[in-house]
Amino acid sequence: MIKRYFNTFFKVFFFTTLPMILIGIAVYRRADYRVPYVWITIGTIFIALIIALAIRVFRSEKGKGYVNAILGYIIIIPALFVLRFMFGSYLFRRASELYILIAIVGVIYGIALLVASRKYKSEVSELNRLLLNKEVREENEEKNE
Amino acid sequence: MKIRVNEAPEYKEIEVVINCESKNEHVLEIEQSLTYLNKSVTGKIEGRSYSLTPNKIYYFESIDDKVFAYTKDNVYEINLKLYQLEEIFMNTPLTRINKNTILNLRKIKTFVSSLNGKMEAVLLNGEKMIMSRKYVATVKTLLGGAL
Repeated sequence: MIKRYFNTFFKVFFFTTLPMILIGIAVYRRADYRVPYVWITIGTIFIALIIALAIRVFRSEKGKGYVNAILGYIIIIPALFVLRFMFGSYLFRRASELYILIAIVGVIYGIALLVASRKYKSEVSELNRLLLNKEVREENEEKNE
Repeated sequence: MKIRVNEAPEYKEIEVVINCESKNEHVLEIEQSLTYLNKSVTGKIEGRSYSLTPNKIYYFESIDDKVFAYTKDNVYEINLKLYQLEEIFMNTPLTRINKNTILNLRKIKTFVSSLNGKMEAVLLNGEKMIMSRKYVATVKTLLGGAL
């Protein structure tokens, strides 16, 4: 469990580092404020920890699927607060911008969920079709006998 | 296909001979079906041993280093590891569906998926088994689908 979580964490950390550095550069260019590198690193670690937890909860085999999906989104939200804490008003000029970002993340999350669930449904219907074909084949063989 | 049963007291063991023009896909399927019935494992309940043929087994599950075989009504303890059972039941509808389970595909009623991508196989007895995505391709092939 812990091993899986940290496996996910390292992957997430790898993919979050670059966007965080880019945001740091953007803030420097826009506001002429250099966010300390240590600050960015610690923030990225926290964000990666939160996202990894959300992924693990989302993919959990225990509990209802839709509950896990909702929990996954709720767990992600604090990551946006960490982002605000890291870059402060240099990135979010108004408090409302953070809530807009939460809504945007929600919409992206929903779309990704919809696309993935369609893919899984088609996979399941393919398996059910094969299962039905096999049963029909076996029934026909029995009748021929 | 003709099926002939010869009944006589001198036959101490059942022998099946397949006479065919060539060993085609249909013949291979018949051979696999017979293999399915021919293989067995020993399961224990309260110290008593029972012979279990695959057609009775719903699934094998590994729990805390112990392996159990689940039939319609009973749970048997098996003195074999899952990988050993996999080898024994090779070329039969019994296949691995997750790290801890070998499932009999003939006991599946339907497949269902949930919003978070969790895939489950609903068995004839109503039980639900979680199927790992890693094994979906193998299950598809065994059900007669292309990879």
